[in-house]
Amino acid sequence: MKPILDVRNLRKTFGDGCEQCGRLTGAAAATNRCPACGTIVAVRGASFTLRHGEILGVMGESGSGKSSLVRMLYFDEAPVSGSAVFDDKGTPVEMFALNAAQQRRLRNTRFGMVYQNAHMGLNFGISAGGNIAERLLLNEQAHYEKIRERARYLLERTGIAAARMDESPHRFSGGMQQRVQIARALATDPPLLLLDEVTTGLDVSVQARILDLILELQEALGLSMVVVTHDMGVIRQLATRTLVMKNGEVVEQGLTDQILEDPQHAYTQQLVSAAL
Amino acid sequence: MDGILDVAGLSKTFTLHERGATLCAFEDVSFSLGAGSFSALVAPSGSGKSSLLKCIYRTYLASAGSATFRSQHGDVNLVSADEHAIIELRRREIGYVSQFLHCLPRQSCLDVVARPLIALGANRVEARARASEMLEALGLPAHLLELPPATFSGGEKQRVNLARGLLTGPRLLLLDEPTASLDAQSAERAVEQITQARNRGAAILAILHDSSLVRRLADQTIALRAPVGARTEN
Repeated sequence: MKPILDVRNLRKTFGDGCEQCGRLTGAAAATNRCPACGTIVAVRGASFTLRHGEILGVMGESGSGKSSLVRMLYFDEAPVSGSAVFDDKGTPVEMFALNAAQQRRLRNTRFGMVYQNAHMGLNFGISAGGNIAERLLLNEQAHYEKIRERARYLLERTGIAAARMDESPHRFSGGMQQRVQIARALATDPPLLLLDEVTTGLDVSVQARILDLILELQEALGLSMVVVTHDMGVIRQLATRTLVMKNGEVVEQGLTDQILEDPQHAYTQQLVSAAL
Repeated sequence: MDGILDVAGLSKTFTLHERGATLCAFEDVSFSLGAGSFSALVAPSGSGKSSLLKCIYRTYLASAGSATFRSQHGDVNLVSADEHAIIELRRREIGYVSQFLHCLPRQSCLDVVARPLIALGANRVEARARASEMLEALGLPAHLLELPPATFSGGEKQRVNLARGLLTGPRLLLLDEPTASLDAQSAERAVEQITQARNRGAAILAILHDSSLVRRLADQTIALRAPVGARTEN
C-alpha cells in the first residue's frame, strides 16, 4: 500500500552552515548548534513514511527539531534539502517542487495543522465561526449559509456549542481554543492532520477530552496524523508508530509499544525511564 | 500438523546504556508451533518467558535468531519485518494477551473488547454484541459491560484482556498467564474459550504456572533455562 506521505532526508538549518556542521551537531555531539559557525541544524535528514489512516508520533525534548519537522510539512518553513512525497488522491506530489500557489492549495485543502499556541493557528481578530469560514473561503467556497452551516457543524463536532460561534476565541478557554483549531483544521476535510503539542499546557482533564476527540475523529474519518509531543502519555494513547528525535536527529523509530518497552537508543532509554 | 510459527535460535539481551550493562533474558531458543496446537512455556520466574512472547509479538526486539510466521500472505520473519507488516499481522493474525490489561482509558469495557473488530471493519453494533457474548462466556458480570475497566478487579481485567485477544480469531495466540488472577470457575471458562480457539485451528503459546493445566492442555511443553537455552519436549 502506498503511503500518504513519504519523507526522505528532510533537512532544516538556520544559518549558512559550514563543512563542520555535520560532524559537530546531532545526537552524538549533544547539540544542534554548530560551534564552528553558529548555524542551528534544526533537522538533519529526517526520513519516515506515514500510511493512510495511521497516527505517527514524534517524540523528543525541546529543541529536538520535532516542531521544525511538521512546520516544514505544513510549508511554514522551507527545508534546505530533502523531499516529501504526498499522495494527493492517488497522484504522488513532490511537495517542495511545487510553486507557492500549489503549496498554498495543499496547505489550505489537503492538510490541517493544530499548533500548541492557539495564537498561531487562529485569527483572534474574528469569531470562532469566522476562523472556520476563513479556511473555507480560501478553498473558494462562497455560499454564506453553507459556510455558516459547515462552521456550526464542525464546532459542534468538536464540542463547542454552536451558540458561541460568533464569539471571539479570546473569550474561550485554552481547551476550547484547541477545539476551534481542530474544527478549523478539519474544515476542508483534509486527509492529513499535523498536530504540534496540542495538549501541552492544558489541564489533564481537558487534555484527556482533546485526546479522546482526536482518536474519535481519526477513527470516524480515517485521517492520517503526525502527532508531535514531548508527552509519552499522548504517544502511548495515540500513536501506532513513533519517531524519537534528539538535537535535530531521528535517533530511533519503531512500533510505539517497542519504543516505550524496549527502547534501543541511550536517549530514548533516558526519556522512558524519566517518565516512569 | 501445519506449521504456523518456527522460532530458531532466538535470543534477547537488553543493553542498558545508562548503567553500561547488558542483561540476557533468554538465549538460543528454538521450537515450532503447529496449527490447532497448544504449547506451554514452563520455567521458573525470571527465565525470560514473558520476554520471549514479547519478542514474538515484537514489543521487544530480539537480539539474534528468527521467528518465521506463516501468514496468510506468505512467510514473515517477525524479528525483522517492516513495522507496517507487524501492525497488519497484529490486526488480523497474531493476538497477544499480556498479564496486565493496557487499554485506552475512559472507554467502556465493551468498547475496549469490540475495538479491534471495529478496526477490521465490523459494524459497531455487531462488534459490541460479539464482545458482549465473549465477555459473558468468560463470566464477566453483565453490569460491568458499560463501565471502563479502570476500577475492575484483577480477575475482571484479565477476562476483558482475554476477550479482546480472542475475539478477532487470531491464527497465533500468545498468552501470558491467562488464568493467573482467576478463581477456579472463571479459569475453567477461560480454558474453555482458549480450547475453542485451538479447535478452530489457532496455534497457542501460553505461559502457564499451573502444572495440572499444562498436563491437561499442552500438546508440547517448551522449557526455558535462561540464559543457556531451551529444551523442547513433545
